[in-house]
Amino acid sequence: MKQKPLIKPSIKGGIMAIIGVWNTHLGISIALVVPNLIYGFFAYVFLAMAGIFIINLVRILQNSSQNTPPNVSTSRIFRNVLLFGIMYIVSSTITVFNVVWYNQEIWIMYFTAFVGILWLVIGISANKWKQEVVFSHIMVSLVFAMGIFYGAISNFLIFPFYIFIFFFAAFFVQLSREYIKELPDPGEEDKPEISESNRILGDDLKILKLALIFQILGFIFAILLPFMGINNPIFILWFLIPSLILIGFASYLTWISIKRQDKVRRINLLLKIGILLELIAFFLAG
Amino acid sequence: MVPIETNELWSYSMRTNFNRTIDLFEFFNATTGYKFRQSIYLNDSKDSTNFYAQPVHIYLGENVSEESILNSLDRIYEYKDCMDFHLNSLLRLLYLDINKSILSPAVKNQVCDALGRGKYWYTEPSKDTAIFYTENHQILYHTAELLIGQLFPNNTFTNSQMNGTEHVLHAQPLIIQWLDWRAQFGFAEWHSNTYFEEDIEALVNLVDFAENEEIVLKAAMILDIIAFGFAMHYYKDRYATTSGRTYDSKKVGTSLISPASGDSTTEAAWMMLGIGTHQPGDSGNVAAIALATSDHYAPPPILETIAANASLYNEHKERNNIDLSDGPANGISYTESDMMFWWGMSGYLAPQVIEETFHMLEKYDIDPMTACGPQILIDFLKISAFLHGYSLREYSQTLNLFTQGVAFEAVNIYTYRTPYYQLSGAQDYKKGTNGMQEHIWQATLDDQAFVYTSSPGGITKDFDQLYVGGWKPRTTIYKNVGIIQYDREVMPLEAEALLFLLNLFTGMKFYNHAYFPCWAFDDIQSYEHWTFGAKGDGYIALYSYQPTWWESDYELRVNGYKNLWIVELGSVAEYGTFENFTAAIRQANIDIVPEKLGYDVHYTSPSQGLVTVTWDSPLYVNGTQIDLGPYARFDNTYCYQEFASTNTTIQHGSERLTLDFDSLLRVYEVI
Repeated sequence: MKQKPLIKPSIKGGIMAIIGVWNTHLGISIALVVPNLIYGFFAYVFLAMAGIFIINLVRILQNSSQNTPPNVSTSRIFRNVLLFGIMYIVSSTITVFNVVWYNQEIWIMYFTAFVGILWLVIGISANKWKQEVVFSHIMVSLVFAMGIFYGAISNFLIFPFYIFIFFFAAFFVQLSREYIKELPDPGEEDKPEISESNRILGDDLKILKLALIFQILGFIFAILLPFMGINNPIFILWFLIPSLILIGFASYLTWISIKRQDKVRRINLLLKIGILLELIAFFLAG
Repeated sequence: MVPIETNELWSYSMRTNFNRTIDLFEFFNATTGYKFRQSIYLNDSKDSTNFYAQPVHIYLGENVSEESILNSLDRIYEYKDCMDFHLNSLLRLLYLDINKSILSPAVKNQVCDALGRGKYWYTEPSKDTAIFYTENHQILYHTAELLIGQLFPNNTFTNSQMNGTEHVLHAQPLIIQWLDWRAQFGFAEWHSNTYFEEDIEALVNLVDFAENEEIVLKAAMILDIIAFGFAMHYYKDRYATTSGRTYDSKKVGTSLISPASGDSTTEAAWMMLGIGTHQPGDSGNVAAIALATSDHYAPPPILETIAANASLYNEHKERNNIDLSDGPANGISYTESDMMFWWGMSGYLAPQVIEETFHMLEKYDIDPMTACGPQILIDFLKISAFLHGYSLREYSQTLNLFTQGVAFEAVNIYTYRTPYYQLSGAQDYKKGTNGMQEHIWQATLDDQAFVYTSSPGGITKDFDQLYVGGWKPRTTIYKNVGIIQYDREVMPLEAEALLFLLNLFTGMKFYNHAYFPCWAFDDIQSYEHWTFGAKGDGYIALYSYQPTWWESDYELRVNGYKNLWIVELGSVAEYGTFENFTAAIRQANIDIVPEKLGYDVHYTSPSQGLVTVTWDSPLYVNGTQIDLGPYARFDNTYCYQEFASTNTTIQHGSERLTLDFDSLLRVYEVI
């Protein structure tokens, strides 16, 4: 069983934290915003890493009995628990430092504590319900998208409503991509023929349908953004429109795949670039 | 270099018959003190070879330095910036020479050739590198155009292709408009210790040589108002107040052998009122030279009396300028007809005027560098506005910390003076915005022992001013106590990126600092957040919320953009010794909470009691709200004048001065 990638999704989460700070900076001193941008990024990267270790932990717990000798399994569990703790403590320390040294909103400390508990609760629930793959997809998307809340709360406890729209737009597209990634593109022989989700959800068609639903949801939330009172409703269009075109095209290809009952190539790549452009658009929105 | 197509000099016929009947001395004569100081200045300048001092030679009937005069002409031929300084001095020379005939025909012909080929306003053809638009340049060019037109009414000027009479007709309404704006709204470049020198020269030229009575009287009255401002703000030989435009060199002294240079206005203040100082070697001060060689202007005696009377105690409030948004309410439009009002305030790129500014730059083929900045900045603004889907006006609004920040808007000035110190500043003036040359507050114990703060960075003049301009604080002052908060909001990404690049290439300016020249004080002490200084019988205490360090013998520095400074002044009369003062201040209760913007300040001043203020709230002293503005035009013991009124009455004892711009009355009375 492969470990979930650690650095990339965590950095993406950190970038979402930066976007959250940047989209709520009006009326706040530069002396507060700049530390939030810098420390907020690093604090959330470590918080996201803690979340990834929870994913790995759940996966180990659910696979250990079948595939792994008990001593190796225990060692892996211990290592992931330890790393979760370290990452969480590092994140909390950075957050506390930022709050104390720069007189930031104290709420971000509570939020950090909440997110740590959330990771644990989701992990425990997933382990209990034996749905580690679904959990893994949701958790990776959550780790990525929750960054925007971290960033926004570090500026204001009562942040603007459009932050939720950012969150859902990012969350659903990422979730869709997590499912799409499970299905190999035709011709990619190194990918497993039967997806991990397939074991739980039934078949590839079901995965494609779920991915399509999430793409559509992500698309709808993204399209709402310019109308939600963001700072630069037109400026973001330079990147949001290409992003929507790519996500829309990915949805079309997903739909074609469902119709043909055979996955069309490059859906994952389209979503990948679509998310990248979406992130740039989110940043420009501030 | 402007090409001269022929080697022949400009042919002219100079008018010499000026028979003015305007008598400015109908109501009073110059005081003996003023006449005496005039004679001192004349005597000290009569041997100078400085070009600007040559009118003194003519006035005294002595030979001039022809070389210096001829050397001054290049700037006019080449349409270079500041040619108006030379034009006004040359015109003073020519007018004074009419009855003296000192200038040789060769020199006179060459001077007249330069004047005949000169450029007098931006609307004239030909490329130039001249700035016509700041407040002082406007009156200098208008004055030059009027006076040149009067001298050569029938000759055609090579650049404009207008004759002298047409130049007079062009200049007159512009001069009257400028004078009326000053009468009604005060000075855009308020209390400029640099540019009032130029204003005074132009105004004295108008008083002495203009043939239009309205212009003569109004120019004289504006000079009186400048002198009144000197009386209210000069303290121990220093123009010790806030200023719209000044330079580091005037405000920073690094040691006893390299002190802060004197104000450019100080010779004029000395001559007009007997305050300020006279340096016998300073023979090139155009304001002082104009005053010294004037037979028509003298300040009304009451102003000299007030300057002396107010030297020990004074509490003064005044307002200059209007806000950009208040233009239409004050009869000032955002169209070309009134654009010089806004450009004179450095309001080129402000939301209300940016579109008209760009239109005028194109219409008159103006080099943008002489107005609002390089062409690349204009292109950047246009492209960015397009990308944002905004109009230029809307886009300018998003960058208003820069675009509107640098404009001189309504400023409410408070000055408190005792025999031991003076504290003066612009109350709550455009907090958190960027500025080019503003000097916001100053605590003064003597001409070199003065303290102020600034937050450098942004688009300061030439990007090299570290002590003036920069990010403006929220300054709130009551008598001898000032609370100064530095902070600002974040600007759009591209503006922050631009600022970062500016910092990168013009020196990192991520700090704010206090100018506190240790070398100028008798004693300096530091305790935790407080820095104390004593000079003579005056004491100063400066508190910094953030930790400070001495960057040099005169600079107290703090990291970051955000900081709170508290200043309190005291004296031997209140505390006895310096030790008592420092002890009292150190025991003062201070409760400061940083907020989203600025601070929540509770400071129990030993002299004033509880002082509270935040970034947005009023200033309270012992629960009483302090008036931070809008102020009247003048509000002090000697004068109360509503803002925008054009009738000034200054009274002291049995003396009264009436300046009525509507009725053209300038009356001094002893009641």
